[in-house]
Amino acid sequence: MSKEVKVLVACGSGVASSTIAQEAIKEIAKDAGVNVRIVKGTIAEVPTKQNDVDVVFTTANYRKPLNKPYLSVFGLISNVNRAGTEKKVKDLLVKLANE
Amino acid sequence: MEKNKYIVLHGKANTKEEALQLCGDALYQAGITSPNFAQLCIEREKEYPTGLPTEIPTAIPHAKDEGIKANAICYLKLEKPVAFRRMDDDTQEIYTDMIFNLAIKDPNKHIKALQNMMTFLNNTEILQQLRKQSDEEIIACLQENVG
Repeated sequence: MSKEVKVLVACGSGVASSTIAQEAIKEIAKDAGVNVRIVKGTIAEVPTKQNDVDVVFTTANYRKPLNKPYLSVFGLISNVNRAGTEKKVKDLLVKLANE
Repeated sequence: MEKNKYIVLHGKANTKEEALQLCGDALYQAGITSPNFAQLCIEREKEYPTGLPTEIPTAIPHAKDEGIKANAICYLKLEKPVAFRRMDDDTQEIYTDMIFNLAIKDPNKHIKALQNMMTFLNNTEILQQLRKQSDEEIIACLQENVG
């Protein structure tokens, strides 16, 4: 039995792109058979909120050091390299669920 | 789903700040946002830019504003493009004459429209049509495709 993966999805204001990315990540997790619990936030909240989750996804660039696995998921809100981003998200969620 | 309100503007701006001021003023005058919405968007753009590097580049400036009364999109068509830094890589810029200033009241109740909006902005054909359409046609097109 794989464990639930706690996910932080962050964008600039926590309003638009993280909402879209959150829905996309839910779908990817469902297809991959991974249980996820998603929290949304702003990029400014990442340094503190990362402590409560297993993985951090942001829709914009994040360049500061992180303690948790991290992926930029701009591709989930745009068609720019969408399939590649979906695959990376799926692989990472599956890996974390089976750790 | 609550329908979006739409405002269509045609304007001239030399910078993204001027463009955002045009949109913010129109949204405030329409009773949708607080008077400082433009400033909030300008500030946000400095730290977290919203330029999209799609085939036809656009920008989707927005900001959290407690004063937002309705979900709305102000579409600004500029005479000449202005530079926005890219959402996915803020060291890079795009130039766009098509700005979609989003006023979002409650994102969790508005997911479908946000998803539709991104699909719309990735659709080169629709964006090309939008450039040629009248204001009424633009609003009808947005209503049909975004909601």
